[in-house]
Amino acid sequence: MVIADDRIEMPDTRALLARAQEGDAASFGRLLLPLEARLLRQAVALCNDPAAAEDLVSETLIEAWKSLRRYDETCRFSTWLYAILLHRYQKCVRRALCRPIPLAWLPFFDAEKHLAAHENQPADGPSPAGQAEQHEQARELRRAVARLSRKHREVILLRFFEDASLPDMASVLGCSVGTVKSRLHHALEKLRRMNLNLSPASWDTQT
Amino acid sequence: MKRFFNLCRRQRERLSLLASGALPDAERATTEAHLAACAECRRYFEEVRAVSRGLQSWRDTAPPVEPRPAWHAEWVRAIQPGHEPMKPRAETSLPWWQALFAGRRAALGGLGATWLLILFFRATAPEVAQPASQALLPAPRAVLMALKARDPWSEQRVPAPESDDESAPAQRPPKSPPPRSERGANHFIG
Repeated sequence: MVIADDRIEMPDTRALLARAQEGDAASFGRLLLPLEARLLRQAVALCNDPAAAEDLVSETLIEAWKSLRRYDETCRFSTWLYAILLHRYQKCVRRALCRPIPLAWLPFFDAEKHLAAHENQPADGPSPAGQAEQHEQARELRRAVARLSRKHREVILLRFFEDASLPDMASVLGCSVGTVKSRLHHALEKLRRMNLNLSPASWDTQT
Repeated sequence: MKRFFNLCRRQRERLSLLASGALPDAERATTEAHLAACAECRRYFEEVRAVSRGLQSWRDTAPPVEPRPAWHAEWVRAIQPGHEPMKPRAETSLPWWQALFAGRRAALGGLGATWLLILFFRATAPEVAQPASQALLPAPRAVLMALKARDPWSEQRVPAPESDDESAPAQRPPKSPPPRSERGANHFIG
C-alpha cells in the first residue's frame, strides 16, 4: 500500500477544504477524490469484503462531511478520515454481534474467499508460495489484533495501516503522546506474547 | 543488578517504538546504543520487529481497490442539499443541559406559557361563595333532573303541579317515580 503524504498543504487543497467547511458539497467531493482509493483499500484490509468496504467508506465520508468543521488540521486529513473509518467499523462490528449480517464484516472472518478473488492478479513481489504464506500470517495477525482491546487495536491500526505519527495519533485519539507511546508498546508486547507464527525471513524477501 | 533491569525495562517502550518506526529521531541514538550493548534487548527487539513487519505485510496483502465512478457519484449525491445531512454540523458540541432541550424549545416554551396562563387566571379569578352542598352536589342533581325530565313514565303518572295548593307543599308526598316494579303494571292499566 502506497502511503502518500497528503497533509493539506497545497493551496488549492486548502481552498477546497475551506469551501467544503462552508458547506460546498462539490468541493468536498473533489477534495476526497484522490483519497478514495486509499480509504477503500484500508477498509478492505479491515473487513475483507469490497462491497462492505464501499458501504463502510460511504458511511465514513458522510460522517466526515457532517463533522468537517471539527477538523482543525492538527493532524493529517487522511489520519482524521481513518480515525472516523475505524470508529464506523467498530460500530458495525458491534451491530454485527446483535443481528445476522454477512460474516465478512467480522474481523476474524476467513480471508480466503476474498484473497482467491484476487489470485489472478499479476504478482509484483514474492512468489505464489511466499504470497500464500503472507496471507496465512496476515489472517493470523487479523485474529490476534481482533483479540486486543479497543484502545490497543486503534493504535496498532493507526500506526500500521495509516502510518500515523505519534502526535497525529494523540490528536485523533484525544490523549497525550506519552499515552500513545505506552499503548503502542503494550499492544505490540501483547502481540509478541501471543507467539504468532511469524517468520522474519519471509518479510525480508519482500521489504 | 536491579538498576540494570530497570534500565532495560525503560528501554523496552522505546524499542517497541523503534520496531514500529515511530520512535522520534532525538531518542533513536540512545536506544540504538543500548541495543548494541544488550543482547537480551536485542532478542526482544527482533521479536517485536517480526510482529511489526507482519503487520506491515498484512497491510500490503490488501489488494488495491479502484473506486467505481458510480460509487463516488452515489456518496457525493448523498451529501448534496436536499439530502440528509445538508450541511456540516456546527463545530461546538452542546453540553448536556443544552442538548436535553435542543430541538424541543418551542414545545417546552409553549407548555411553560400555558402553565403561566393557568396560574395567572387562577390567582386573579374572584372567589365565588357557594354552599358546601351545592358545591358538592351539582352534577348528580343535574343528572337526576335530566333523567326525570326524559322519563316518559314520570310524565304520564305525575302531573305538573299547577293546580296544587301552594300553602301546604310539605304535606304532599315527594314527587318521585314509582318503584320499577310498579311501572309495568301502570302501563298495562293505563
